[in-house]
Amino acid sequence: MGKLASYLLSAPVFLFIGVLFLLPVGLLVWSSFFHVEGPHAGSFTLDVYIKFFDDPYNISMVWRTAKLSAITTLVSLVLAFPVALHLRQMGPRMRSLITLMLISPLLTSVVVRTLSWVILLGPKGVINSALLSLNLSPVSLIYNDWGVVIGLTHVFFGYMALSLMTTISKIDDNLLLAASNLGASRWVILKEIIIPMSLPGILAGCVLVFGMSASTYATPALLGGTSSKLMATEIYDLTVNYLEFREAAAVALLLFIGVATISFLFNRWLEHGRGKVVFQ
Amino acid sequence: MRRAHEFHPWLLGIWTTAVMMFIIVPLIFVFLVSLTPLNHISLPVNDISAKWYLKLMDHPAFLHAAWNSLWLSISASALSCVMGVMAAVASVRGQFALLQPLRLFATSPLFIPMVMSGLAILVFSANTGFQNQGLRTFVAHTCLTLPYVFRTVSASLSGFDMNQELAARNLGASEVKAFVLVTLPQLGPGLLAGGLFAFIVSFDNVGMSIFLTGSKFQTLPVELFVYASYNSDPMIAAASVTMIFVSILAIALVEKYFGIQKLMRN
Repeated sequence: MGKLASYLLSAPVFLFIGVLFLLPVGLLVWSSFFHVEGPHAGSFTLDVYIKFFDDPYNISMVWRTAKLSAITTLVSLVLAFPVALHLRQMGPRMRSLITLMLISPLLTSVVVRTLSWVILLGPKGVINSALLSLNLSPVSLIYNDWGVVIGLTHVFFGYMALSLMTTISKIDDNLLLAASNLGASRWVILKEIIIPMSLPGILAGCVLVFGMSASTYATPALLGGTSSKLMATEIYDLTVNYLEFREAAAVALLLFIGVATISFLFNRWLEHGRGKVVFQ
Repeated sequence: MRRAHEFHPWLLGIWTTAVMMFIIVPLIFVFLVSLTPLNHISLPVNDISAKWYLKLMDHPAFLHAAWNSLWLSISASALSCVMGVMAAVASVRGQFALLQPLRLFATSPLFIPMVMSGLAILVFSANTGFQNQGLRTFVAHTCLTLPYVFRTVSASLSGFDMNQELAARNLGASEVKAFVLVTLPQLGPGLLAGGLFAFIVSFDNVGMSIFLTGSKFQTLPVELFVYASYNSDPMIAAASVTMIFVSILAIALVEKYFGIQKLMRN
């Protein structure tokens, strides 16, 4: 294929994404570092960042975002690992059926899956109206951090399962057979072969679930109640309710940097750590 | 009989079953609640009714939003398919200096958190005076869905046997004609899957839409989100079931023609 044809074929993507996506994102980041109006318009400033880090409330919000995303990631990992192990021992038909059932929910709306927990556990939900009809007092099950963790785990679990399944099902059966013939117990096999060999999948799943949990808006907005905010809900509030675009941009950039740094560190650790574990 | 290196199948079985219940039971409850004849969220104990589905159809905001969502998702994924196929062809077949930048551009919307890109497009639209809510949501959804089409089509193309196209060209077809008549039809399943995936991603999106929609243009998931923020009645369940149904339809089509697992691993 000629050079000209390549340029012509890729022009729409360069123009569309370049002008309507990357340029807006770039301008947003730029706007957070410069005065937009007033006497100093156009000059460099870190005012929104200084203001952000000066407020202990914001620090606790960042911490809370990291904490809830980390718990969600960990819970997803613990839930998904045995399922992935089980899948590799199943027959092909059963395996594809279970896989389909685990992955399909990923393709239904995040709002719908989050609302299913409101319908089940909400103050007017199924469980509480059952309690009321039994003359028991209603219990507060969501609108707190646990509500957010349950919702996020339900929403993003499938990505963890998918990442784990992909690597765990690739492990050669003969390797495990050889180990057990040489006298290794199942736990030794798990610890010395399966976990090290599935590390890429574990880390990929963790990066994926952590990143999405930290940056999703709808689930914490519906399950988190009003008192405790996360970075994503704060970005939305600053934008829509306070029209503080520059502050919102600063929080968004911090969120992006945080998630990107964690992915980068995990990948670095994978390259070094995995080399050590497998070839020691 | 269990082989020595396998793990207790019944223990793992209990775990797998529990996890599947955690994933699926809430959705079953949504379905049950949507059939309640009562006026509050409850299980249909004595009889079932379609009352809340009828109410949903009588609720103009939901109807408008559903119609908007349908057209938005179809048009955004259609444009993504056109641009995605072009870019994928250039990326797999082309040899030019901008190969890496092209791949980066085509997948960049995946790497930027949706709250950030939604906000960026909102601010951009405010600053350029280009404030049409429908159009800016369409732009955002096209960006959002492009990476999925680009990846699936690139994957299908790179596995394609170029000799077929060479044969067509030896028989006198032009390069374009050979591509359109020989390659494009065989890309069918990959393109269909990518397009359907794009449709679902767009149809379900809230993260970006919530910044860009408004009183003049609302999508179904955002309308449902806003409604559920202020109300708590079985209509939420009925609307949810309707949305799940649309997803199931799309999933069934993908599974039939392409395979969900293959698609998601891309």
